[in-house]
Amino acid sequence: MNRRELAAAYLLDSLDEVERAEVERRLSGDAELRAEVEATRALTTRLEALSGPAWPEVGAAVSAGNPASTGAGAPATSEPAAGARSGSESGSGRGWRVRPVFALASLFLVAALGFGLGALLTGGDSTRPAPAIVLRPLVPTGSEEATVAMPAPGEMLFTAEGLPALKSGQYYEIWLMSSASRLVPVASFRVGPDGHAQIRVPLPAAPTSYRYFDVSRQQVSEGTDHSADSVLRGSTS
Amino acid sequence: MEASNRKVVFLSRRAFGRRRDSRAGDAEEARIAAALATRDPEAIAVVSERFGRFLGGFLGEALPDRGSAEEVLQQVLVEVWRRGPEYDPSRASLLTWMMTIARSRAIDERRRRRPEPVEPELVAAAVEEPPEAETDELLERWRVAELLTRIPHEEATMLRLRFYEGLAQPEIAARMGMKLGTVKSRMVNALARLRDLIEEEEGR
Repeated sequence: MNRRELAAAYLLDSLDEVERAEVERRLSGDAELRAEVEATRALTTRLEALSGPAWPEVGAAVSAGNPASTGAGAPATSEPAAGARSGSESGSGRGWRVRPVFALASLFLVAALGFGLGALLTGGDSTRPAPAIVLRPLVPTGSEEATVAMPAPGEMLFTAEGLPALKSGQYYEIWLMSSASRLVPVASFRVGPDGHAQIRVPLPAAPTSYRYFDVSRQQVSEGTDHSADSVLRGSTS
Repeated sequence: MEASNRKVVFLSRRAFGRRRDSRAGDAEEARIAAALATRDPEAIAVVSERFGRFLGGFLGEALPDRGSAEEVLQQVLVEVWRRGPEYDPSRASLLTWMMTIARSRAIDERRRRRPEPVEPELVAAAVEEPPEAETDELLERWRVAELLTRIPHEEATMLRLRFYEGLAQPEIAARMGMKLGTVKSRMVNALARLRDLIEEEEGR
């Protein structure tokens, strides 16, 4: 691997223990490798900060036969990102009629672009109520799925089906989450034998301030931090 | 304009429905730049179709409400049209040039607006950043968003699953029906390609 690829592999945690130790040994003496790692780290920080509409749509790249190809495992594709609908390779601009106008440039632009500019910003009609957010399993084990709706401002109605049964001392926790270090707990719950749960609670923060809703499986004995055992996740955008 | 010259700069809007690789992207950008330089009437519509998501996305996040973002986007496109003949491809990519215009108009708009009333507890928690710093960071993110369209879609998808949806590589492999080793090498390629594209841009 060249330095660029090595830096990428290091930050993606794609190296085995021996390779990783070798990179860390080299970092102290190889200024170019250090610079590449820092530049790639800046890039990954920006990638982490990208909002939903900034990302290309997922659907076409997921292989057929995988649950995600039907949208079941790719939460963010159940509703294409707002920006993706409006000006991307899907070409929503095809609907605009452009007429050559030999007048002031501003008049031409108003005539040519019209209402379509709004679509570039939000991807659609902002007066419709927000659709429910679908949470899907990170690794499907059955038919588990959940939805989050907003029945009133600042309130969440969470409905889950098919969640796996829990052992004694376990519970599920709903989170608003952007990363392992930026998250807030929303509600704790258990499920019956049918795997069903429904919870309506006020939200501790605006969902738009976080990247997704997450459901984790927690152990009472291990404290209240996120267990890193995420069961369901859905994008808030 | 001579009929033969018009034919040279004519832009097919259908072309912008396809994902493009980096070399095709350079040729496409050169055609758009040529059209802007000659004020081809189709040019701004094509600019909106190709780059509108990124300009609109940036302004939608840089400005506090949709109305002002729409207004500023119109201003940006008018200015791109007006200054089209000034664009120099040796100094920056077309998107970078347009984003620079968008950045300036966004900062002007943020400075012009009067502060909105906020709840007292939010005032204490808020960290007041100068509009330039926050706007510059948003601009860099949206530049990266455009670069994601220049790498293979499958690789961009893997990056999305990793950095936006927070999946680990084994989870990405399961989701995409691929071997873990394939996912690892493709993701390394994806990040390296993005770094190449960034370096190419900075080298102008």
